[in-house]
Amino acid sequence: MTGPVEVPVAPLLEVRNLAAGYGDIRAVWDVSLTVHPGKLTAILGRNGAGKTSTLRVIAGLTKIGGGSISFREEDISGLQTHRRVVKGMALVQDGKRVFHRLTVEENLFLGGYTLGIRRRKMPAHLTRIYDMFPALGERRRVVVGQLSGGQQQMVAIGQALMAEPSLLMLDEPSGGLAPAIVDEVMSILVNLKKAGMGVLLVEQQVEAAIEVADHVVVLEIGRVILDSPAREIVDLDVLKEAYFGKARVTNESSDNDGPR
Amino acid sequence: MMTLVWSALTIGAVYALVATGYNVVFTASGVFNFAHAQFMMLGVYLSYAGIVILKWPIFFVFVLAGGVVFLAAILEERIAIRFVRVAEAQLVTTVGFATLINGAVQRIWGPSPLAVPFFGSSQVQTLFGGRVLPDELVIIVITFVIVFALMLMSRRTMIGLAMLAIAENREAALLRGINVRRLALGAFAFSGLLAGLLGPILGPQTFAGAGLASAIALYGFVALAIGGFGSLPGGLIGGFVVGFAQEFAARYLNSNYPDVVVFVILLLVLLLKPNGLFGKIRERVV
Repeated sequence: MTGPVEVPVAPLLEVRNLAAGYGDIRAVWDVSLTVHPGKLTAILGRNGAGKTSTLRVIAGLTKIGGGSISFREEDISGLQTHRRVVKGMALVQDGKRVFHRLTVEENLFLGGYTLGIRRRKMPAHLTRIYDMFPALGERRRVVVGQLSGGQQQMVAIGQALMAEPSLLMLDEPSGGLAPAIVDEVMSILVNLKKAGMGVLLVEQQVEAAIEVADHVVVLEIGRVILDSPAREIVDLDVLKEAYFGKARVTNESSDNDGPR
Repeated sequence: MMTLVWSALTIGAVYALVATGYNVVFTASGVFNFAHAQFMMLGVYLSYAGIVILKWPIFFVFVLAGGVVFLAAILEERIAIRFVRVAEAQLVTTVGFATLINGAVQRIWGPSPLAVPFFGSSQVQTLFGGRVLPDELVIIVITFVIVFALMLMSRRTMIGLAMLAIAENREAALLRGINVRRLALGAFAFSGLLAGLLGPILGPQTFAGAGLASAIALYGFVALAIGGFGSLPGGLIGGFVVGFAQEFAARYLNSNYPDVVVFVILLLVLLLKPNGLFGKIRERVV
């Protein structure tokens, strides 16, 4: 048992046949996916495919309608959002939803809310985040609303990392950012993976996502239409086919009951 | 002249305290608790009961007033807020709870105003050339202490930051592991405790009367609108603006004018700064 042999590890997050929403506003019909520690699973798909909704259900913001979510081999389907966070789950929502009226440091403090009253530990965590995002360290007393979009995204990610989650979920972290900053965000995700964190990434930028992903799941109208190790997607055309070609086929054959 | 300033400061402080109570709950839970003025009135009535009827030592009167109103606030959160999800409906249920307290108080203590004796000295003092009662000074000082303490707390403690976070974006707060519901309950309980503890201090000035709550609720609300919803310094300044407008209008114009002057000031502020002097625009993330 020595050497870099791949030992099968228990999945960090295991989502089985997830469903959410009702009737015409049903956004998630049947989604199964897995995230392993130290690995990145990317959820791809077009607008309205149910990517954001899937993350919301996993985080507990949207009520689960069917299926199961297990986190560190424990069923968490019924837990309230803040309890899931305490267990080590973090979601960075899209649109840089940080606290715009508070300073960078106050935002990070709040990220460490679950660390408890032992605020003596807080400086060490802050240093860790500032090392990761030097731009934030230079602006700790600046009100977040005055930062650039890229810096706000760093606050959002830094805030989530303050609590030392074992699973980090991100909803389109590259949204509206310059290419250089997208690269920076992606390289941070790679480093987090190396540190053993499991990452679940929702992205519109397909190529950037596949570069860092270990596993790829493509959604279409709330269902998984492709589930594959990232290394098997050597040709992006395969993916594009899944996106546009096969998706249409799936649509016609089995989604008669889905929303238009 | 200075005597008038002292009484304006006193009455302004009372309005500022009402506005602060509204603010604490509003920030943490997004609920405008119409019953807060009733909480303060209940505290005054309980002080009357403790001091005059039961003749308890003052320490126990504070415990009685603080404790009972604390429990009343928890009760309100449990029955009038928790199961009512819609913000508009919560406005109605808090008014309902306020009416309940109004009724209960009149039923127990009757309709005529009752005097609450001050527990300290009632020797008139001369300060900066104006005459002021010790209980008036206590009200003014306590108000500043409470507002500044809360301002410090809101930026320096985790609970304070969490409340600001909830006020800005409830969902984002949940995602940082903040137990939003528990904090909302905490804010109600805290505002109730504070309102109750103020009873023995406010009572000598306000008297325990059936109309007390509606009067301070109205002017406390005006103070908040002038200062800006959700702003602690705004509530403080707003309270004093209303207090000074009332006292000076009554003295130099005519006893019919105070309300006119107060509402003219309110209209002017709302015209020039719709969010109040210290208000921030409340952005809602949909």
